[in-house]
Amino acid sequence: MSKEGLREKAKVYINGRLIGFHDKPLQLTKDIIGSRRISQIDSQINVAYDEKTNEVYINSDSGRVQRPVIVVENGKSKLTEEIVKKLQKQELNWNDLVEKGIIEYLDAEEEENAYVAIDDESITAEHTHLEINPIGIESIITSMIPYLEHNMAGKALHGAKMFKQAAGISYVNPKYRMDTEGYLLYYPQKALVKSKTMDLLKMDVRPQSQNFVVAIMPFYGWNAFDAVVLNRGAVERGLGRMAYYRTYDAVQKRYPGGQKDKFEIPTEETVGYLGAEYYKSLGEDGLAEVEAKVDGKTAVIGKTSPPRFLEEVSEFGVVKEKRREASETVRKQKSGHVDEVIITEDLDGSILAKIKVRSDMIPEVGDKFSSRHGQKGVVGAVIPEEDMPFTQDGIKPDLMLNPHSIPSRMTVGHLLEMLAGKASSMQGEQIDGTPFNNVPLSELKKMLKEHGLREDGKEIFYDGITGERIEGEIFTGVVAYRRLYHMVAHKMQARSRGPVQILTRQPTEGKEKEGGLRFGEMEAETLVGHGSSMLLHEKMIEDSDKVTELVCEKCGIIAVNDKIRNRKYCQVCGSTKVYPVEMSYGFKLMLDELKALGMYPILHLRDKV
Amino acid sequence: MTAGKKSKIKTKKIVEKAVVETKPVEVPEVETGKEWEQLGVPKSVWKTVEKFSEAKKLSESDVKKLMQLAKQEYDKTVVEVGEAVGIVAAQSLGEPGTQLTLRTKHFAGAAEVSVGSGIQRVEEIVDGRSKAKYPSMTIYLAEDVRKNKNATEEFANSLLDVRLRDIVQMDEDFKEKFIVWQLNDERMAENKMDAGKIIKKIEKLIPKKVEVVKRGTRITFNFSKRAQLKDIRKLMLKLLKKRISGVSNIETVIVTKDKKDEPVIKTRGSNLKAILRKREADPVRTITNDLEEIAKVLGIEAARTMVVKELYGTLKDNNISVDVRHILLLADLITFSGEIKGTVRTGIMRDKASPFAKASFEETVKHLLEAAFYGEREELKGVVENIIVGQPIKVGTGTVELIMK
Ligand SMILES: [Zn+2]
Repeated sequence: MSKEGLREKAKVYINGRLIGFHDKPLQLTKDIIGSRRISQIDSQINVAYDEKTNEVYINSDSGRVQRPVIVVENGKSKLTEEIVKKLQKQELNWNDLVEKGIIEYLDAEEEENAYVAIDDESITAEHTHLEINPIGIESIITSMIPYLEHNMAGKALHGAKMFKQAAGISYVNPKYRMDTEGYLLYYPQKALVKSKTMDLLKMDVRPQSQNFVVAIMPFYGWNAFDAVVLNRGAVERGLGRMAYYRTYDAVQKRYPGGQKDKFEIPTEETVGYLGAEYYKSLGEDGLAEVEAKVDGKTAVIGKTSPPRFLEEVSEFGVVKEKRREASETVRKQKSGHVDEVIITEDLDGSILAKIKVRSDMIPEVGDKFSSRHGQKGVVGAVIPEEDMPFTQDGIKPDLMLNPHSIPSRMTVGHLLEMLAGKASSMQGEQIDGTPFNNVPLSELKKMLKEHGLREDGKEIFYDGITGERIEGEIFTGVVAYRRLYHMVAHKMQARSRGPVQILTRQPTEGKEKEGGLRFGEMEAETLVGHGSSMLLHEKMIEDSDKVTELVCEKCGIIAVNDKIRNRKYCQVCGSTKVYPVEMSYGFKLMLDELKALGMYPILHLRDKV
Repeated sequence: MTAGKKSKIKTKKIVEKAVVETKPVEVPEVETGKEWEQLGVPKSVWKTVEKFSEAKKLSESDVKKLMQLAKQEYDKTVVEVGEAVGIVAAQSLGEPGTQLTLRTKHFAGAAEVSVGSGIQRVEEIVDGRSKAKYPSMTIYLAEDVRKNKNATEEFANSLLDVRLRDIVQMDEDFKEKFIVWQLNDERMAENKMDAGKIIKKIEKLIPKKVEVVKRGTRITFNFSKRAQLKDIRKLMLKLLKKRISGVSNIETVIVTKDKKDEPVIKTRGSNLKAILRKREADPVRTITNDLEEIAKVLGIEAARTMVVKELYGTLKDNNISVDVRHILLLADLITFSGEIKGTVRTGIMRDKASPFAKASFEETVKHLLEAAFYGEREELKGVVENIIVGQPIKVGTGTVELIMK
């Protein structure tokens, strides 16, 4: 074949590898799809033709995401009523549909060639496929958002992201699981407004939300900037309450020479003994008792290790071996009760103990809540029930959402869910809010009217403190809210003094190490910009790693202070003309490192005033 | 208490009120602007005052009062001793810099001249890169050319750098040892060139010893059978590279109008030296965005002005307003050494005296080793150096020291 001839032919790739050329790429794709539809080739093979580059891609490899759609031919869905009837009689099943080419799986590349109608009515002659259900265009998680089609795309994404952070019942065996971290909502409820996907996932059996009575109103500024106000009465009745689990483990390690670790309550002789109050929750076996209260930093597994150096011989022969403290302690700020204790063996046959500590996380100021529409917020205040505003029926909202959260975000779905939730709670049954295919607003209004409520969902409220009627009507409804696992109790941190790093003598970083917040380069520059030289000095030196070192005037090098002979002298020249100089330990460290590199940094001194 | 009797009770004094008095700046009696200037008021300030007074016909005493106020206001804006001007400039330029986008601006209509704008251009200037990525000139025209549309067009086309290879189609026959050049009519038309003139120009370029047959727009080179192929090649390549019209480096020209509706020529590619020599160009207003070239042709002060202009303009195009004094400081820093040096480790950082300042910027180990090799001294004059050592920096409240007496 000549080169010229090849240029006109379409390149054919299988799994990304060029395997040949073809005259009629369109016919080729059509043939492959045709034989797939009559099950001559596997249903997982996809073929796509790119008109721009004149290339045919055939894919059969693993790792492609496929999705099923109904085949449409000549403007008619292949899933006819006849077939639907057969399906209902269970004469046909899913696999039959795939085999018969009524339903086929598309991958991302083949989808580029497809024109998928969203429902039966919108099929035209050009369409090649039909969605099985319109929610097929959304992901599993996204399609759990009710009235999704009324929301902004970005908010749908937000909402979907937060499904992953919600506490609920995420597994069926919470009692037996020993996850390092786990969350369990105490009183989860079925969502009043559900979607079909939730049914398929059996979310009613493993729910992750609670239905909050929500009023969209400001409350004395406590719910400014996306904060929400909770009703203390509701919180005390168990609203949003959840358990936080953390598992600690320890192994009785065996060392060469017959030595091994031991689970026990360490005695006072133990090296690194923490103090009696740190071992108060331990039982005789060195493990914490079930349901014992454990505070932050106290031991849950008492363990001692053999001494590091065996033959510590004193003048009177071998001393009694001094064991080292090696207990497993509860993390700071994660106190609670011991939930489960397990003793088992690890892969090496050593004894392994696992202790699960449970902490009750009662909603408090700073905890995070979110509806399914990406409307997340932090608790700004928990208001006593008697101070909460109430309706003429005496209903007090569980949560008050700031009205400013709505217009700019355009989460109309949230408002519709409020109406639907309200209607559902009056009706006594769940309402279908499946995206694209839900109970319409007119229906919701009718339902509300039937139950003697206003069809616009508004209520008249009275101030709980003054008893006066609140001006204006307040939109109220029921929304499924989720408790997210970000909690202040685990994040709050402050430091005025605390541990320092051994190497640099600067304050430690990070919450676990009681660290400070870094006053970094850019922060330092702001002080320079303001000319606050002394403040900068205080932050960087006085509050950090200030030291007073002796410096030899002659050599310009750090001198020593011999405290035994009470003599300050230079180790290089022996001179006693050494002077104290304030500097940062970091600088002293740098001088040492320069010396280690073979450089000789000389400090020239001058009188300080 | 009866009148006339003095009370015997002496009351202790209390602070009635605390007043911080502000004294007006003492202004000596002066009449002319020159003496004002000696006081430290720049010409632009007193000229404005004078102009205003004249326009409003102010009395002499009023003029003095106004001058006094102007001096006060001016003094307020003068930077104070100990102000960290460098950091403030860096922050003032850096913060809005985060809003700059990676955009390439295309001129509307003819998609020919595109100039990197936004962060790309700012980076280019600040880093002092020797070549602009999109070198471009704005050529203003001499008055007679400006008014004549045809002359403008003609001048613009004459600038275009056209090499022989751009307009000639070559057929080689190495067996018979002859080469045919055919002028490409399309290309000629594109560049608005006259075939006759071109042929004449080509003839001049061809060495005398080569035998040439000319027929219309076709030139045939006949070589002797003994001629080396290598030599023929060499000659041809050399010839094809020859420029037949235009100015080197000018790749594209378009005639557009500037903001004041005056016709200007915008080019892609830049050759300031050659353009300034052209009679048709206005040598005063014609500019290029290639800073290196400006420094070479017009001197470093011109380059400094251009740095300010370009930076200010680029930021302004992106709706960012920065006080020009920050930019002036930066421009001074870039150009004070006599050549353009960017704020990078190969630029002004290299000239820094302080080894600590250099080490804390980039390539720490290298700079420390170098300092050790040459026995450098750290004078601890700068900001970073003193932070490293752990001493108060000599800025703001750190500029003063106590003296014991
Ligand atoms: Zn010494």
